[in-house]
Amino acid sequence: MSSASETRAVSSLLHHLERADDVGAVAFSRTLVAEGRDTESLLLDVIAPAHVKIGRLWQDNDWSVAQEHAATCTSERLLSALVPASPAYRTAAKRGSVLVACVEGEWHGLPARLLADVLRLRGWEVTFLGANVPEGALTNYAQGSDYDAVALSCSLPLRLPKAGAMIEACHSIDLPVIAGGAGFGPDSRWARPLGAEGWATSGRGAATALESLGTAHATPAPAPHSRDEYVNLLQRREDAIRIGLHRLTEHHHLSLTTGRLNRDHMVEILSHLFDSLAVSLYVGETTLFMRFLHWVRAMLAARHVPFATVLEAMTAYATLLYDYPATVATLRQARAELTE
Amino acid sequence: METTGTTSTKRGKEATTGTLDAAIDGVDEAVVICDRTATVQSVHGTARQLVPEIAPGDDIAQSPLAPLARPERQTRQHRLRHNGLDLSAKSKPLRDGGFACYVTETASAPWTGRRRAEFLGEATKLLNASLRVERVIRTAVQLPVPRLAAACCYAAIAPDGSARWWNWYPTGQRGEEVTTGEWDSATVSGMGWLSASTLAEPRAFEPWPGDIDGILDDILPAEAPRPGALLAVPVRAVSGVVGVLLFIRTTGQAPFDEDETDVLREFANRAATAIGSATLYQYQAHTAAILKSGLVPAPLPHPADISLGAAYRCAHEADRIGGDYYEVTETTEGLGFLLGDVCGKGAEAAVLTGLVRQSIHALRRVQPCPVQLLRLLNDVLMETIPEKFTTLILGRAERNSAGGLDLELASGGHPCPLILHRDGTVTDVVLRGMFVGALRQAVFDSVALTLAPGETLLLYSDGVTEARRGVLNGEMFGEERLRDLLAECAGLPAEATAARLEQAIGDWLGGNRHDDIAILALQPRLSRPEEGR
Repeated sequence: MSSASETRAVSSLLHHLERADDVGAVAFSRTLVAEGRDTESLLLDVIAPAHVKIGRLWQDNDWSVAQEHAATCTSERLLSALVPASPAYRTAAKRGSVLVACVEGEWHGLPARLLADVLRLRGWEVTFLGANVPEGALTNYAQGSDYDAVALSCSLPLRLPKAGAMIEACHSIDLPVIAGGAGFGPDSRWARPLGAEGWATSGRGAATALESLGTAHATPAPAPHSRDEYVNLLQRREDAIRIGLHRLTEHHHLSLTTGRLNRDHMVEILSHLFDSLAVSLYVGETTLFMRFLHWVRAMLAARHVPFATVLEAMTAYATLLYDYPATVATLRQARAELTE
Repeated sequence: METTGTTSTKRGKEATTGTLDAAIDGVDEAVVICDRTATVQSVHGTARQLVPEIAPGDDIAQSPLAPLARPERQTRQHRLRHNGLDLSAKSKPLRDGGFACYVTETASAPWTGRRRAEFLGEATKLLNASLRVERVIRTAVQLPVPRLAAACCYAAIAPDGSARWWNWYPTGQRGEEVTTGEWDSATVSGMGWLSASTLAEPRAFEPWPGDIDGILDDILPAEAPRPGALLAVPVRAVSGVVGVLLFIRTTGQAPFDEDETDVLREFANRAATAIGSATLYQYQAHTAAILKSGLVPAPLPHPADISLGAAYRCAHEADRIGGDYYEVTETTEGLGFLLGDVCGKGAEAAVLTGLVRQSIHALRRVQPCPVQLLRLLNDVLMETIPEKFTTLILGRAERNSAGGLDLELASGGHPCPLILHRDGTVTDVVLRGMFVGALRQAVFDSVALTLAPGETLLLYSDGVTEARRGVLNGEMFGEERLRDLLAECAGLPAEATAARLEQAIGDWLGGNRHDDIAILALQPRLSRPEEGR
């Protein structure tokens, strides 16, 4: 398949997803299969890129969250129609059994669903637990049957501490973990230090990682020095968000510029800002915080909200958290990079 | 005859090499021969017991014998601790530029005091790492090898006298696994050491003809050294002896001394506890899974003309069962649906939800009218469990000629359903009514209404509106936010609406504890997908 035909296929599918037209999406996908595209390629080279595109459409304020949900539902219906009907689904040589789940708090269930279906097409017996799987539910489920591995999906870096805890919980019941999803960073750089036995940035990579999984458990890398500060910082979350909110609502010039944001939106931004800062200490890398800031800047710009709101909140955090050295250093470095 | 001469010389050399290899294999040291690039050429002697990881082709610098990778002219004794063994190792250069490593076990401390405590501590930790019986047993047979035995076998005795066995005899090959199989009752009864009724204490014995002959191939493959000292230790659970651990040493190895017997007896006790816990857990988990399967919400049906969406989160997330419940059933009288919330939490509440749902199932057969059904259910609950009650919305939906749905709803003390209209406005369906199962003379409310194409009916439990935010003193989500959120869902399929609400509430909670949450959305299915836009 040429990349031009791929691009065409993605935009055609997007057209159906935009109208939540599952009948049209299924019909279109069937023509792709009839033209010789295998189901795995349909999942990974057409459906997955369409949803990456949708993420960007949301970020640019071209699509609403509700539309994104409708598109996800449509793709899920599409998968239910396509995968069990695929010849590979029935004929692939049997492999082991695997539990596929999203990290607790992670609502982007589609990447994990795509992986679950790719694995099914490759002969794995898959139990798919869906989005937002609480840690206790995962281990409870895993104990019930003899799984060979857990595939853990995380799309937002904010969930990394939870991912780390879930990997540890899986190890405690003797299950190896494959980590995947954008949340583990570019090249899955944060998967290995959290103790995952395998990792991948794509569905194919994850399937390969699972196939080459050994029996030995990985050990997590030593925690970065800033991990201690992360633990303490969490105690200040409530204070920080309260003071940040106060600052954003009390300052007259800001309340004018943030007119398009209601209080709930501000609390949400302040929470994400704080959590990204904390998680960057958890992994010991400022880049994580920078990536978040660049993303939030683009997201706010599309909604005509000045980025000064975030800078103001960062100042409020730096003042409040003056005795947290790594936190202050991260905030200072971020500000310097942003105003360069 | 040069050719012949060469051939015979070669043959002679081969024979010599073979004899030499066999001779080296007989020594009591581990011998590892490496070439000039420090690549392992061959392994001999007790290598498979002392350093079973090393195989020909390995880089010695990346192996447990890494300190020997650079042989010095002055031979130096290295002390290594590996797999719990204290090893003494040295390497000597060979003429071809390669070198040979010699490894022996240091005459070690007796199995008492710290050594004993360390081994048992590690064993306990690893044995308890899993709650799966199979894994626990695999761990149990691997732990004593090679420190205390060359091989270890666990035989679990079945009630019919047969036995399932797991055996670990590492030979240093890559990817080796514990072997497993079954012995029939005749085989088992032929082996005195395996007889659970007679085995009360650890029993050391020599391989008597007949005693282990029948199972020899299972515990020591043909090419392995022959068994020497053997020790059988009963594995005792609360219910009595459930199996036997057989520790095997090969000829030339010392018999089990008193300290070793004692540490292995204690090891068997700990293995018994771990195997017992895992067995009990598996049994209970299996029972719980069967019980739970009737209490978790059943998957939604896919009726041709009605689109459905639901979300469900329990307060006790790990259990996946709680006091909220919903159900949608296709009946001859249209689509029957319900969503409710029983008093109480967790498993106790879940059992009551099962009773309510089953009662409705049965009663629907004789009474399709929702409000009449509520009255009947009220009687049933009053008679069976008068101290418990539930709030509940019961409904029936039927497609009308305009492509919409004719609805009949009845409520017993439940939060009012909401209707999302095509233009994004949200209205209440005002329904009063008392708790179901609390009062014999309870009064319930009912209403008939029509859902136009593109409109959505939302049923929810109070766990939604009472969800407390993760920050800022746990502000409640409230009805107003729910209405605003629902308004954003105009034009969405019912399942996307349910998913949107579930996520928004999850984000609001931010990991906070919460009550059970149930959401059910229902709308006329659009005949053509474009129609909604």
